[in-house]
Amino acid sequence: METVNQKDSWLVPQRQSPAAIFILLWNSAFNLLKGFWPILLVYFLRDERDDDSLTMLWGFMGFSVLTIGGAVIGYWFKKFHIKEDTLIIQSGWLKKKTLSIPVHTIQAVHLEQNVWQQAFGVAKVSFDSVGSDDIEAKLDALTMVKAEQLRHLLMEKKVESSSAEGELRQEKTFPTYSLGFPDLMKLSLTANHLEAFFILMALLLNVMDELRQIFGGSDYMDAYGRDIMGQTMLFISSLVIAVIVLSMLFSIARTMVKYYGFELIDADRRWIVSYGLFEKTKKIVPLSKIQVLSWNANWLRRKIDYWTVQVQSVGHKENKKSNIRIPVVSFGQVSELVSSYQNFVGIHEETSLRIDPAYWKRSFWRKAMMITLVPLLGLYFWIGVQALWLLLIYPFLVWNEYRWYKNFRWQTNSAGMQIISGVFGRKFTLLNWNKVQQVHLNQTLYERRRQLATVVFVTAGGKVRLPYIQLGTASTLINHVLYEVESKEESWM
Amino acid sequence: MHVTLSMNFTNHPVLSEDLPSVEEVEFQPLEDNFVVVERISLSIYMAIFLFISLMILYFIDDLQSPLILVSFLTFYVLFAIFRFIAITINFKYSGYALRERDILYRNGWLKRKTRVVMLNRIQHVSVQSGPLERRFGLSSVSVFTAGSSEADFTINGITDDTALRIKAWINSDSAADGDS
Repeated sequence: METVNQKDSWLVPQRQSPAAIFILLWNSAFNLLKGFWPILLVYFLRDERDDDSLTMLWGFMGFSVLTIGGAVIGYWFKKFHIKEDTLIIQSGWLKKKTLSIPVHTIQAVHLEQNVWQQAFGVAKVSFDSVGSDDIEAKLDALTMVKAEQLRHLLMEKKVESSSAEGELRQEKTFPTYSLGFPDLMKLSLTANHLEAFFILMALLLNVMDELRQIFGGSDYMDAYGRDIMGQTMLFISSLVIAVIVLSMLFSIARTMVKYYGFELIDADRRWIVSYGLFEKTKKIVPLSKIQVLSWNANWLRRKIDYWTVQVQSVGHKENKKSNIRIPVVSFGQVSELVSSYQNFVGIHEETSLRIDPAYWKRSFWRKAMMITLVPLLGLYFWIGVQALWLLLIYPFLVWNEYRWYKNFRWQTNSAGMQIISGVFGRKFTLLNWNKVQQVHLNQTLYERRRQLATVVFVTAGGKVRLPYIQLGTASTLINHVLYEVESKEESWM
Repeated sequence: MHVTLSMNFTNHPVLSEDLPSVEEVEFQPLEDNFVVVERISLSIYMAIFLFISLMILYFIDDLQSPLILVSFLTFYVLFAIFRFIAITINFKYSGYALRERDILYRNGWLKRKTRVVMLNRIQHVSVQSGPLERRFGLSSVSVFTAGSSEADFTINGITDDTALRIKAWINSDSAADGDS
């Protein structure tokens, strides 16, 4: 009876938790502060507050009031309910918008909590649906109880409406694995510190640029820059080391905070992934929605047997923030984990195939041309013959492309295809035939002359590409995949 | 590659050589009028481009030098010739094929593409025609599969009647397949 009442309560359009007002205000205030901090800094630091800065401050305050007011109105007019197996989210005051998401198209319901959401005991709820490139809809603050109820209800309705799924499964849950402190340390120490370095550098440059604008022109900053350049080499070396150390610490802390308390639960053909210290993330991935699975490790992580599994489910987009990445502490565990999708025992030289060697030569020339035509020519006109030093990159490029070609191998089995690639690190990719939506056979002029082709398998979660294989092999492979998809009644999700 | 497959409905193994081959498919050429439509579209596009460029040259004094004018006209003529050739060759190569279980479309000049979409994977189909196409009695059919918001491919240069028949045929077949 209680469940019926709970279900009925979702039929009525309702607002989010009142905490949403604060969350929206915080987001607005934070965004405003991010955008206007240089103006505030100038205003508070300058001794003489002239009319211009006062006008600027008034303008800023007026804009703030409007934005914050907009956020409150946004909260008031945002309502949601479930009607006839459709999740309906209404929003907007002047421009009204009604978003209707059929429950059967919802792929996953995500609950996320940042610090404020944790403090208020609410969660941000977002939904992935078929064919969408991004998360289509979100509710900024629902109480945890309501958020869990909504997720449960949507998933329950989804199963009811899906004839393929049949009856609602029993909720059997058991932890598949979690990351302990030593695992987190390994993960953090081998993280991409270079990325953190560039983030810090970008941040630093951004701050410098903002300050340059604030202090009216370049005189002050240029003078300051000349002072720094005038310092001893020791100072500059120390600065570089400090930035590197800071980057590493930043990178380590970032990874630790992000993956703190990582846990993966395998619950009835679904993976439930949760992690995060301040910003807690919980994601549910139905295994049937996974289109392509891959895992990779950079050189260092390969050495300590540490891998990151990337899940490409329906609507996956490269470099999307909401993509799901699972850190795994050994290759054995990876094989075990991915067996839910496709059995993987390894890619051996005897059983696997290579791409044509023409690939690495062609790839080298393509990249060499790009380097030669753009940076080299530009540098030549700027600094003269010194620019020719850039040519030293060519041997590295040859080696890099050759290694990539040598390491690239692929093989097929009755379920699908497996690929290994990489230069220093390694990436393994698994594709099940029943996930293929369409097949492309591409041939450039060069490939046509050498009877080669590039085959692209398109899935609802991204593409898998086999470059420069023999035309005959490409045709056989395509015929085989078409047969697999067309003759079997296997669902792709 | 030698692949042995076990079929759902019999126990006899099927060799890959026995499978229906994409290479043997006979592609239907596009309507002859389509190349005319393409050339007219190109002419309109080039005329607009020329008009805008001449306006820029007219209003910006610094650009009014013989060197810039000659360079621009050379680039313009070469580009027009290249596009004209590309349209002609692309038209000759382009075609589509409907099979029992899939639909194929090929096009391209320097880079040739053959795309195959299985009927049991098609989410929806749309038929459309622009004003110029309508003048020549042509339409195009776009095929959509899951995971992308844009059309996966569009068969241009077919008659209105053919477009509607293709749409009806795909809909009936993909509905019959009843894939999720």
